[in-house]
Amino acid sequence: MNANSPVLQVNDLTVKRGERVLCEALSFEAQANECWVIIGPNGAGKSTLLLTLAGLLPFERGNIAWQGAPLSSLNALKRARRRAFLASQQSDVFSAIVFDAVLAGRHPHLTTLQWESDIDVAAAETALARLKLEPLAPRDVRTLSAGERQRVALATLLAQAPSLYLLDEPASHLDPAQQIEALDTVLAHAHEHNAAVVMILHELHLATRYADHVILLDGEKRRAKTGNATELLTAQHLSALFGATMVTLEGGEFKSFVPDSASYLSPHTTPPCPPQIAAPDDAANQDRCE
Amino acid sequence: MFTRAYYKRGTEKPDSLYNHHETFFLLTDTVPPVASSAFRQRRRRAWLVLSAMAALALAVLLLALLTGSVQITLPELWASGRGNNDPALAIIRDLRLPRALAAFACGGLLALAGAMMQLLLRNPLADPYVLGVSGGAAVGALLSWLIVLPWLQTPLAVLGALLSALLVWFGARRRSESSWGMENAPRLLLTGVVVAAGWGALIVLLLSLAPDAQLRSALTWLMGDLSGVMMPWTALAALLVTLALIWPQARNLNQLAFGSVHAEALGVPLKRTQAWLYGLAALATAAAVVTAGCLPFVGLIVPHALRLLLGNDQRVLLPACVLGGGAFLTLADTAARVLVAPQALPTGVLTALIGVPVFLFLLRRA
Repeated sequence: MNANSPVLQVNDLTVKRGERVLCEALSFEAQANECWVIIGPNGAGKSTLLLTLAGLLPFERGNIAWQGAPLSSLNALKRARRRAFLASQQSDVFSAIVFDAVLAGRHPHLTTLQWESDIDVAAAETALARLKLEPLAPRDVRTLSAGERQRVALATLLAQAPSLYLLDEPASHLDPAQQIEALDTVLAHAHEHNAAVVMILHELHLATRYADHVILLDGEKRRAKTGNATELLTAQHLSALFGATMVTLEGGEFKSFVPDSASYLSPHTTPPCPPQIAAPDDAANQDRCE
Repeated sequence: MFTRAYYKRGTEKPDSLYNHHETFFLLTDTVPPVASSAFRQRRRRAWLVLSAMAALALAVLLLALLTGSVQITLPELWASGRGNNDPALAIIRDLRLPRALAAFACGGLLALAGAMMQLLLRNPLADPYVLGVSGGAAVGALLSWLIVLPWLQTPLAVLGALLSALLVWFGARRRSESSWGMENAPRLLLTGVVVAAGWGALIVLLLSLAPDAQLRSALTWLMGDLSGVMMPWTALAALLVTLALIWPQARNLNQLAFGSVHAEALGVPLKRTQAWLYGLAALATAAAVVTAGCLPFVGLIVPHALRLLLGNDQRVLLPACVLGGGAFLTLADTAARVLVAPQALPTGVLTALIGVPVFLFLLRRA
């Protein structure tokens, strides 16, 4: 492990599912303390890409390295010490107590026959406390609401304390205030551990709020766009990505994008000009339209 | 760049969170340890219950030795243990002891296999027989009677069980080998159910061909019966080996209970663990079925009942299944011997008759 290596390095990655190529020649480097957000329409392959980055799915071509170590050199346990993965949904068949579900995050840090020590118990308790879940600790996970279950799953990741967080829709099922609070907490935790975060978000206001880099994944064109959030999170790019005219909303210090009224485009057409309420920094876009 | 959100909002500086971070590993007492003390209490209680169950298992084994058509008291047992010619001792040594040990071993094996199958398939309704191992064994055993070579019963039953296990495992494997065996459970379950249905048809076919004289003993075997058991050692050895091999995996199995993606993301070598789980569960089931036939119900309800009592930590649950399943079946078998003595009921009838009300009671209470 090299301290100077990027937490996640992706080089010339091609991901295929069956015959379908989801992305081709994807390269990027996520450094410590960076937050990358994957955005794209339904079915573009965001979750598949994230599973691939997590080392949970095989890929066609290219290289993935975590902190300089190629994925192939790490076994399942070593992988789990470096990266945490939040699945898009939690399905609980067996009853389990919330505290135990969070304590499960300590699994990769224990040897085969070791039992959870006070350190692990403290880590789980701290994780619960940071997400304000202490009152839920003795509950059965199957009795939780979807939003509560989501926060418990996030607490499990905090207890795991990895250097790379891969989150598939961490804000799903959460109310607006909880979304901000939960993501703030996770990102602060990541920051403390010099970790990098790569997450899939559907809520564009959260993307503009948290992303410093984005990956725009368009399953049809195969070429994902990667780059700075400020450059890529614009009405123009997002209109092209989702195939619908997106307009910019600004309020307070944050902005978001919403589809214009009933303006669905067929895919692969030039996006129409966003209405004039678009952000003023969309200069290029406005030039073309005038 | 993470901090952007905080700075923009200007209310929460991350500094406060840094301070919090220092508590992460060191100062556990800055966080009121409510949850963790409850956790320790639960763990203590689990060990307590486990020790109580061990004592109970011993008591039940003793009871099985002492009760029957010839009643023996504890002092008599103790006294006869010294002088070797006592006929009472002969009854115990040659009849009751092997039968009680076999009952304990088979009960333990079936409960253990049931707990493992429920985890593997992530389905609380799974039991050791759901994937057809018992059907394969039954067809082998029936075949040995049909060709009138009863000494072939055990080898053919073992062969049938293993054949069935391999058929299901390789039948359920996906052609494209992806690294995650993830959510393979429905496929495995479906393959198993179909194969089990096939064995069921073969069983009926063999029964219809069997001479009437053998029909009765065949039916008793299918329902599960311990009356003929003389050799408990194979089953006991299988029980110890299975527990010794699966117990070190117990924390991996805990992760599997939350789902296979979750487990693999937390560092469980998924394919290896699943193959191990399946192989050992099939082996345990085969050892039990070959010894005592298809005893119903033990493998389904004992793991459930113990999960309700002890929680779902496999490090506690798996040994508990051995003790609980063993004690349960020994008790049921003793009842089968004694209830309508001198007639003996098939053991399998008693497991269901005791198991159903006990389980319904536990389920209502939970």
